Amino acid sequence: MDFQVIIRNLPFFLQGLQVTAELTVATMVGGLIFGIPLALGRDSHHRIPRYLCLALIEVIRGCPILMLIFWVYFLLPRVVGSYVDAYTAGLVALIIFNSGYSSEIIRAGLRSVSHGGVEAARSTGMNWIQIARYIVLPQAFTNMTPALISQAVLVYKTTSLVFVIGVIDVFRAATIVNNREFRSYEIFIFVALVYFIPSTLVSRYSRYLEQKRFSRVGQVSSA
Amino acid sequence: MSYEFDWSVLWEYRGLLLEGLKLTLMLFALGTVLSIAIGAVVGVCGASRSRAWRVFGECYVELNRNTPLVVKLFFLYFAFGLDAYTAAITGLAVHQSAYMAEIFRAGIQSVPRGQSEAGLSTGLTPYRTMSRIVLPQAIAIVIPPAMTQVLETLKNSSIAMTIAIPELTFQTQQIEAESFRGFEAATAATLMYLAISYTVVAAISAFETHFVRYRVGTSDSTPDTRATV
Repeated sequence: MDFQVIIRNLPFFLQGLQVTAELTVATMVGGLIFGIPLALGRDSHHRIPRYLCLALIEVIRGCPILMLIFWVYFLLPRVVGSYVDAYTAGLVALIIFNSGYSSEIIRAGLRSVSHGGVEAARSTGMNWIQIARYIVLPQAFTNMTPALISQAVLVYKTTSLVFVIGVIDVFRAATIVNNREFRSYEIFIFVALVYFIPSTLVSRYSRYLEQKRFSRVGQVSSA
Repeated sequence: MSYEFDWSVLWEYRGLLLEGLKLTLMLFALGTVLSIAIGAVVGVCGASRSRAWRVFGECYVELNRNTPLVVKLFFLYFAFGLDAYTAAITGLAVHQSAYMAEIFRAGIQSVPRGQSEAGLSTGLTPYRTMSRIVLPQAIAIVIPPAMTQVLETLKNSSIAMTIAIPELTFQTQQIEAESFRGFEAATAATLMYLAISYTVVAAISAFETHFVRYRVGTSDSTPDTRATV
């Protein structure tokens, strides 16, 4: 074992890590932006948007993420009519993937808000924007937070797959260094830790939040 | 869109697609069976009363859930030097078993303690108590999230392509390389994945309605819908 190879290539790894971090944050934000309309459409009273969103969510969730990445990589240039670089294609694929999963989390969050509260708000004369702003969204968002944080951990790990179309994230950086230096043990242990440490810390935090929420809910119901 | 679809390419390359489908099914079947077997053992450890076993179960689950499958595959293949097939099957089974273990642990712990105490006090052996009292009740809770994980195993088998296993996703890339018809190939492969998924869902649902006899209380536990890349 000679971890010199990590230290020597640290700037390169850090560049890769930055790409990974950017992709994770952008994917989470994009997933929320596109997940909300999908969630609303999925619970719509009209049949057409409901089935359309359901079909979309099912396909996204039923299809391997690698497949989605390749799909977008081939299709996107033909849709926009010009060259699309791997980074953009990878990001679009990740956002599509994450929207499908986030929409289910958002849907569960919205459903967790009791109907009685909404009716009470309506009977006190609030309009639907006020109801959404002061009644539904604050509760829904609190309930969604643990699941969204776990989803962020998943997204962080999933970004490791965009290397297949050539994006130089931290995992691709590792394979490049490995091809040059043949220090597989050190390099892949290092990369495993790069994923393991943040994922473990963040998922523990998410579990802590969930427990806190449950204990609070318990107090309310016993009061 | 100036792209003209040419679906005849699928018929032309049907050999590659079927070859890939066969390997995907093989990885899926082995991955599922092994991950359930390992997951059951680790899950029982995690639900154990002995602290040492619990810690072992927890470490196994955390270590495997918090590293991407592709990193494990590369580690097994490049650092460990396993051949590609062994690396792919081992990696997939170990990765998915961590999720299975967590499901089994939660399922076992959801059966009230009084049930196993009652079993033991009527003179059943610990093994009998587990197999006759606890597990039949736990299985109703285990099936929905376990089904999600079985489907994840199918989807994650595609990651084996990164170490050059010529499964379904790999073959679509092959078709792209030979004919520039990657989009058509990817569409066909996606439909195959969806078809396998729906077959599995139908099979498990049928199993559930016929064989699940005991249900613990009101089972309103939402199935775990998270992916596991």
